[in-house]
Order: sequence, then structure tokens, then C-alpha cells
Amino acid sequence: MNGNTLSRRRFLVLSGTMSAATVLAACALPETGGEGAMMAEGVTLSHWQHHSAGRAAAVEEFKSQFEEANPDVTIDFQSIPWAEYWGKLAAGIAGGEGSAPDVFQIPMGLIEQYVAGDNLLPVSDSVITSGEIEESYLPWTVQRGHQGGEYYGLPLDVQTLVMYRNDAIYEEAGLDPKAPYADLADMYDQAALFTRLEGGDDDRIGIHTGYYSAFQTILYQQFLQRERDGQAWVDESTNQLVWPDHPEILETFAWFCDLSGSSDDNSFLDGQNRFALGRAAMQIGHPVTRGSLLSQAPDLAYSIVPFPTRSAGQDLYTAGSHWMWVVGKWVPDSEAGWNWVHFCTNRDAQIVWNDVAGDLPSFQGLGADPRFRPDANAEVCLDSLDWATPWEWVGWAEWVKELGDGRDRVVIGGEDPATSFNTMVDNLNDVIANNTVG
Amino acid sequence: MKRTVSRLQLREYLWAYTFLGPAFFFLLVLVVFPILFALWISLHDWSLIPRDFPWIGLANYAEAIEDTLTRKSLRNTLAYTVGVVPVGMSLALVLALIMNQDRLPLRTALRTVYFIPVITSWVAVSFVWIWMFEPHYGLVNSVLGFFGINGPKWLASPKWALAAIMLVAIWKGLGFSMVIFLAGLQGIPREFYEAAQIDGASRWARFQNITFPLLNPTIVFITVTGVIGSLQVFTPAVIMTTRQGEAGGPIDSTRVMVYHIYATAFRYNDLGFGAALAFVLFALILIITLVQLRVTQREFEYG
Repeated sequence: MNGNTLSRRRFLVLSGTMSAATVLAACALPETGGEGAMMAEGVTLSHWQHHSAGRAAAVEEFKSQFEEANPDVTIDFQSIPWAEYWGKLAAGIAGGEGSAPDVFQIPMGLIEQYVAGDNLLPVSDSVITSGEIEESYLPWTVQRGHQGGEYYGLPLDVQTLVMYRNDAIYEEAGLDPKAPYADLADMYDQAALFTRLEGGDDDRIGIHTGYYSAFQTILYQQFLQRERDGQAWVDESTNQLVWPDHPEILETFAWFCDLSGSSDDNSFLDGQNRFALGRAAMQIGHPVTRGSLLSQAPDLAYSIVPFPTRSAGQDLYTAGSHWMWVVGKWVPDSEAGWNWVHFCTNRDAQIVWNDVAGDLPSFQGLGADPRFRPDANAEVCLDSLDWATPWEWVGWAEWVKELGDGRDRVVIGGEDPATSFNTMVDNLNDVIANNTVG
Repeated sequence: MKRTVSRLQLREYLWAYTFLGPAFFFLLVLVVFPILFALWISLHDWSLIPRDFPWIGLANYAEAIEDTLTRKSLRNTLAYTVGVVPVGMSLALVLALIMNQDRLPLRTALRTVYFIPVITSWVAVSFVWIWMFEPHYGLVNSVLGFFGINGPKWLASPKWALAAIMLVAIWKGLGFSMVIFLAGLQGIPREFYEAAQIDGASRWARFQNITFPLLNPTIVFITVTGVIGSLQVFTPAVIMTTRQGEAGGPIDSTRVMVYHIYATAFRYNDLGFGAALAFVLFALILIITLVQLRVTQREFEYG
């Protein structure tokens, strides 16, 4: 045997040792954050949010400012792709200390469940008291985070619902795209007027109703808020929807299906953004939709107006939504965690959020700031904050399905509206039951 | 002497397990443990949002049997499988027989063309087909219109949406099955055909008595893998039907089992029921595969 040749025995010993070392190395936990890091370098806070380029850049900017002002705190920021966010968050929280994020974001409709599961810490009084929260933020943006007398999150990514109109189509018909609707019937008539589905190359729909869940949410909440004295969707004693008690809601559902079936056609440019393509005269949308229109259709001229009232002369109404920034119960230093959240949601930060993502402010008084009102469309979006109340979904994604299916059964399947409505209510009552904890 | 052999064997076992160790470790941690843990989850009222998870025994399985949405998802999945596998396999066999002709011009180029969809991303393919199926301006209905056929609304129609996805799946999988059939065809000894020709057997008789029986292992392979893949269909059914974040429409006509599992667990936060549904699908695949193997496998010999 040559002296340079590895003997079989030696080869086996070396290979075995390397295999064992590989297994051990794979089993070793990376040392990121946790108590060890806290003792050696102060506090490390992990912060997760779902990714968007503008928002990630804003957080990076806040991170450097915050770390400079708080040298003993390090922010370990992860911007996670949307598709992976929920799985990663659930797995992280299930793993508890060491794997759960210290600070993260959740949609407002899920906060009750996170609180009921004892996953969150209430806002630290030493950072901001309940009184200061109520004075600082718009009441409806902190309403759903108020659980058991304490606040569990601070609001960001505030959105309302407004109507978008294609200027060219309106002007072609001799109508002013900036003139508000008189009422829902006016919107219906305009949609019918603009609809042209004749098989030609310039076909268009009068109204894009494809955001079925938002459309129905605003319609039903509008009725209960404006005509039933702010009646909540869910009866506290039965934990079921009150919709069947109000025949007007079934009528509104039938009206929506009629509008969606006559002035919209879900097969027309199926799966495409028809408003951005100039093939829809109007659509419902959030203020943030301005950002996507800017990237998808930079030359499209459009106007934003408030969602119409049910009857002429009523007070305006819109449904508002937002996300909550929350602190997990495993945070190594709750005060540092809430300091970080407060830093990213305070008055100055909200100006940055508006710049990078078109988010509406949740801070009181900021809506009047001229920096938020560069044009007429922004004016409408900002004003809508004053007549919003939060979406009343209990849970989240199931509502998208049930409200969409309710419409589809009637418009595509030809089912009687009352039958479809009853199925929708039954299914949503199950959703409410499944999402009610405790 | 006997003792020496035993020690040698012992050492060999030791080394064998040393090398098997890392793979076995990862198999346990990354495959076996998650499966057992998923089974454990399926026996609880386990939410994706952490809280107390009460033990509910087989309640999630009982719910799966009664749940209309689960039954519809199962029906859609089975319809998709029944539509895609036999049609795709038959077309691939015809194509392979054509591509196996020695005198076919541009044979290699054609084989490549048919294989291109196989290596193209499902996501990209799905988006392109959404456009092609657009009822008003899409290519498919334009071509049908050329022949005087008024095309359906495809993905916007509960009657046609699943069929549209099946068409795409057949088109995309054709090249793969064709290549496997080609390999099978080329494994059949030429002498059989020569002998049959001398005996005066017709083309059809040669196919019926030589080609088809000797392709049995290939057919079994394509059927079993095709059925398993079809029962697990996810990407095209989701990409081609997602509207406002929700897939499986219109009116659940394209809701397939894997999307149903995904949506239940990760969109509706019901991890316990989602895990139970995953085991229901597993059981279904296992039963169908065993039945297929029993029905389709045939003993044969070349001699």
C-alpha cells in the first residue's frame, strides 16, 4: 500500500467522524437573539412582518434611527414573503420563546383570537397609557385591539373603502367624474349607463364588483350603522349574525347581486385588473389602490369619490380596516418592545408610512396635515377616515369565500337570492363560532 | 474461526449504521416525526393561532365525512384525475408511437417541442392559459370562433372551469408520459415485430399482441404516478382560479383536496381539521394505488 493512499480502515473512521459531526452541526441551534444575546449585548428584539418593498425600507430606516437612540436595543428585522408569513408566524409562536417573534403584525380581525390564546402582552403603560392611546389614535383604529380593558396593539396600514372612477369614460358620457353620487341608486344607474358588452374590441363593464367581500361588507354595515343606530353584526347573546332580523339586508344582498349581474360580467377579462386596463368605469377600492394603479396604469386618469349613501341626504359611511403591531408574550423586555412599536407608529412615523405605502394615518389630527392631501383624490381618502367604523368580520379569509360564494350562487348559478343569502348566513355563523375563543 | 467472522460482521454492521445514521436521523426528524405529529394534531381542535388545543379524538374525521365542502373537493379531485390520467396517457401513447417511427422527419426536434411544457414552470404556464381562456378576447375562443363554435366562459363558468384546468394539465404532462412510453417502446425487442411481420400480422395485431402487453410495466408506472400526482393537484387549480385571494371557484367548482387542506389549515386557521383532511387524502391515495397495482400489474416475459 502506498504511503499516501488512505487505508480502508482510516477512510471509514474519517468518514464516520465527519458524518457524526455533520449531524451534530445540523442539530446545533443558531444563536440569534434570546437571553444570551440580551446579556451580552443588551436586548435583541425580533420583528416580523409580511414583505412589501416600500414598507421593508421604511422599517430599516426606523430601525437605524431607533438603534441609534437606544444603543442597548438591537432590532432583528425580517420581512417575510406574504405566502410564507402565516405558516412561519404560527410555527414560530407554537415554538414559544426562542422561535416566536417579539414584535409582529396581524390584521385587526384576528387580534381577539391572539389575545384569547394568551399570545400577546398589553401595551406597556410606561410607554403609552390607555388614555394617551385614546387621545392619540382615531377611536375606530384602536377599537378592536381593546380587550378586557387593555390595549393589545397599535394600528398601522389603515385603509377605508372609496369609489374609483375612470375620468375618460365619465367625460365621454358628459358626467363629472368628481361629482359625488346622490345615493346607491345613482351609482346603479351610472353603472348601467357605462356598461357596454356587445362583443366589440372596446367593450367595458360599468362597475367592477369583483371585490365582493368589501362591497357587501360596506353595504350591510352602512345600513346597520346609519339606519339601525350602529347595531353590531353579531348578537352577543347568540353569537350569530343579526342580518336575518333585518329584511333590508336581504334586499341589499339581492340589489348587489342584481348590480353585479347586470353591470359587471365576471367572465369579461377574467382575472385581469379591468379598472387599470380602462375597461371598467368604476370600482370599489382602498386608498392604497392608488399605489398599484400608479405602477400598473401610470397614464390612467381617475377620480376618487366617497361610497354612496343608501338614500340621498344620509351621512356618509365607509368601512375601515387596519393591521395591528403587537408584542408577543415572549419578548425579553416588554418595555423595549412597546417602545419600538410606538416609535414606528407615532405621529412622525405615520408621515413616512404615507410616503412609502400610501397608508392613511391612524393618528388623530394628521388627516388635516397638508402632506397627506396633495390632490383631490387624497382629500377624499383622508376625509373618509372621519366616517369609518371597523369591518366586523370575526375571523378573516373565510369571509372572502362566503361573501363571494353568496354572490356567485345567484349571479352565476341562478339561485334565488333568499336561498343563497340564507346559506351564506348559516355558513358565516359557523365561521363566527369557529373563530370565537373562550 | 466462527468468532472472527462474527466480529467482522459486527464491525460491518457498525459501519453500515454509522453511514446510515445521518440519513436515518434526517428521515426521522423531517419525515416520520412531522407525519406522526400531524396525526396528533388531527386528533385535537388545533388552531393555527396558538391557544389551548383540546383533544377531540376522531371528531375532525367525522366532520370530514359530513362536510359538504370536503365532499365537493373530493369529487372535483376524482373528476380531475379520471379526466386527466386516461386521456393524457392515451394521447401520450399515440404520440410516442408516432415519435418512435424511424423515418419520421425532425423526430428529435418534435420530441423536444413536446417536452418543453414539462420543464416550464406551472406558475408561468397557468398565467399564460388564464389569458388564453379569457372568454371575450382569449386565443382559445378565437380559434373556436373561427370554426363557428361559440366558446364557453371557461374559468368563469362552474361547468367549464375544471375542464379548462384539466386541458392544461393534459397538455403539460403529455411530454413526460411520451418520453416514458418511448423508453418502454424501445425496450421491446425488434425480433418480435419481425417474426410477427413474417407471420403476416397486421399493424393493429402487432400493437394488440406485442406492443400493448409488453408496455404493461410502463403503463402501470405512468398510471400509478399519474393518479398520485393528479390526486395531489394544487398549483394550476390555485393559480388559474384565484380571485381576490380565494381559489377554487366559481362556486367551488375547482376546489381540489390539496387546496382545501391548505385553505382550511393556513387560511382559515383550522390546523386540526386540515391535518385530518390530509390523512383522508393519504388514505384515498393509498387505497387507489393498491387497487391500481392489483388490477394493472401482469406477469410477462420476453421469451
